[in-house]
Amino acid sequence: MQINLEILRCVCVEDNEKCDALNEKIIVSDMLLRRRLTRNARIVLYLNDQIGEKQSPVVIGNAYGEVHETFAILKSIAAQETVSPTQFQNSVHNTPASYLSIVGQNKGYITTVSDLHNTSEAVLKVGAVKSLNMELMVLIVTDAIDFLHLDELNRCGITKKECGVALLVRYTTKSSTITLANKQYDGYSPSVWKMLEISEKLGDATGIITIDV
Amino acid sequence: MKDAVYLNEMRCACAAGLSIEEIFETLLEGTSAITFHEGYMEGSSMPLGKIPSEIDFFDILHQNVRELLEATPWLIPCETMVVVGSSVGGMCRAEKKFFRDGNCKDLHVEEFALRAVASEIVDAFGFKSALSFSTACTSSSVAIDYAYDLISHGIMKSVVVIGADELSQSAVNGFDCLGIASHELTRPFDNERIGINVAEGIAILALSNQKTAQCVEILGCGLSSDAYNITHPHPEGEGARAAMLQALEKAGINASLIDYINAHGTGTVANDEIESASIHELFGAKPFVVSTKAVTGHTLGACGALEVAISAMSIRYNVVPPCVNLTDAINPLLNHPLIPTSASIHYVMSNAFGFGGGNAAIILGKVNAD
Repeated sequence: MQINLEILRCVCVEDNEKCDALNEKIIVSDMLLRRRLTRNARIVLYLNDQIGEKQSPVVIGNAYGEVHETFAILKSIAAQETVSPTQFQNSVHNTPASYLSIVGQNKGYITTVSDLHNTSEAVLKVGAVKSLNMELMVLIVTDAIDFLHLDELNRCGITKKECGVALLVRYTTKSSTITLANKQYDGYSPSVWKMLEISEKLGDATGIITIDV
Repeated sequence: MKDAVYLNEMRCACAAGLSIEEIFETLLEGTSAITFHEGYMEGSSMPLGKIPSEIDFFDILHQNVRELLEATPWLIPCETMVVVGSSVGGMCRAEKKFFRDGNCKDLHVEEFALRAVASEIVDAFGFKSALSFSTACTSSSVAIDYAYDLISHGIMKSVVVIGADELSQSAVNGFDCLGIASHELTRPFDNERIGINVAEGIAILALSNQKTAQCVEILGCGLSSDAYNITHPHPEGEGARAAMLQALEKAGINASLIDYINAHGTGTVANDEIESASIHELFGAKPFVVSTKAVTGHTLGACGALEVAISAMSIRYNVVPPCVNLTDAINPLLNHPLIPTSASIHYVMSNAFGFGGGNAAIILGKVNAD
């Protein structure tokens, strides 16, 4: 089955090392909460803020999860040290979703999906299916991969250590206006490719895309 | 007009047994399946819910999917999607290799990524596609909600939902550092409760738009976010109530019709207080309220699917398992059965609330024999 999504807004952020200017001090006024945010959470909060629909349902995609915190926990256990409560609470895959809900006081549908290199596609599919019941949806894919042991795990040559894309979408019965070429982006995590291509094609414009679900 | 969604078959494994029939039998016996284990936490023997088998977790998963497919010849894998709910995916493999080597040189992202469970199953059985949800303890409930949408909108005729989480040192130590891992047997809804028993579990559900013998209907799912705290539930249970109300609305039934609530009931001070109060406020004293985690332990991302399977067994056999380790209830007005209780069970609600403030409620209904 195919579902058409109208893309009303796109936002993208990326950096080889670390995205700055994520407006954390403006978006998260509580200093204690701000200090606890993971890199993925900071990117998600920024993208959602830029999209500007803070109470809409959100689907967040993340290929690798909070690997930095996970390996920090393993190191603590291996060293027979006590695990840090903050590291544990930040180690779950839906950490960015939780912070997004808390910071934006969004009490609705916020979920986290993952499909490794196909995570963008997974976000688009879940967004398309959920859009049948919902007015507007925010779809976000992010991967911040500057984690512990990256040099040992990075076998596909990712050089863009932080990247995130957000789309504001709604279901439409109109025909598609965008065709994707399934472009591959050297140095970027494959998990973001599809949504990155949408963002690149649309820029500030709007468009309609067909999703095979 | 939406298609009806049926839960046709289920295969499960957890501390309480290697099949849903065995698990349900253990629940009715009213004995905890939690056992004490060394090696998960330095210097402590921890009460954990470990699957009673020497077979590797992923091999048990394969075996259960194989059995499910044998029992559902109408389910065509290449036309069926797999939706996984898991909080750790293949992380236990990373843990084992990391503790063995002290580095990640022999570790591949594909092995420990959340997709690990889905990849194994799609590759082995030729399913059409898969995707994975990870929303902590609501993971497999959220997977059921998505499967429900796929079938009710006519996008898929059948979906296999998998809830799977393997016992890891990270989880045991992590919950302990938060002060919510009990070092004794968990006591859900008891005034003396002190925390959870971390556990592992697998629940594989075949959902479709076809009525089959002994199936139950999935009537509606409610999902909400607390927007309150990363580890603590909302103190007034706002999010939990919102999810339960949404499930009732989607199911199109009144709260008074719910016969049995399979509660999230983790045994933590915060969850049980809030869930108890929310249930009493919405449902009064009528429905049976049981947390089966006293027997199975808290299977984390698998608990939503596992407890939906348990709920389906209650509908199928018209019997509610007892509350185990409950002697002094937080709210004595709630209907906590202390012995297995036979009753006509038409509607069941199964709750799952998670880390980070995600809440899920799923309502199941008996299918008429017409």
